[in-house]
Amino acid sequence: MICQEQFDSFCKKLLRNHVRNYERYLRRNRRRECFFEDVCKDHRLQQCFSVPPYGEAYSFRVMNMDVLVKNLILGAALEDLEDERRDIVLLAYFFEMTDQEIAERLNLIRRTVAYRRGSTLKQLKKFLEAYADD
Amino acid sequence: MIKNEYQYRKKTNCKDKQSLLSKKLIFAAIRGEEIALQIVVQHYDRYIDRLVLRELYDGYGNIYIYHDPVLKTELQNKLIEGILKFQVLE
Repeated sequence: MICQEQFDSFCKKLLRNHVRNYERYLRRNRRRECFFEDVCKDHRLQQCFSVPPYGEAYSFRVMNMDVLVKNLILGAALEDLEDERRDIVLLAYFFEMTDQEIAERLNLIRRTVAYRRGSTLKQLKKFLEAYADD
Repeated sequence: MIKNEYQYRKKTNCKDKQSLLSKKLIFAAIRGEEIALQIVVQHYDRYIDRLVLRELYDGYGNIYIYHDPVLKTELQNKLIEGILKFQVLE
């Protein structure tokens, strides 16, 4: 009989102790936990990764490079252009290439690039002015 | 013998709280016999069930009673572990 009671109390004590350990473990964790929203604002975490602003930006693809345009109005204007002309504008103003370099990449002569760039800028200006008037 | 007890406990579902496990069963469990261990775990199942209840509060102060399945498994493992280490003092 003594042995049985011993065993019973041993088992119960074991279980109770483990529950206490578990609660202590949870409490310790809770002290160190914080909301993900708060962590996101911490600059130390922001150094570790960056969130690509997809969905809020226009993205174009030129010569296997992605260009993200955050300004929605400008993005819409660029989207409106023909592909060839848009490529020239992107290469010239986003990658800061000269007309000569662009011409070599696109198999055109320099004068064509210069002309298209100029006329495309006018087109963009017209689009943006129309938007501004609205 | 142990098998008989197992079936008997299963049949009666061991309703009375005060009942202690028999000596034979305890020794069998300490030796690590599987059926005996099953009976012991079954015997303490309701005790464990009561221990793993946890109160959770939401933002409005409502209380939820939560049955923690992780803790329950941990407890059962701990129990088996403990039984095997148990030493009978005469």
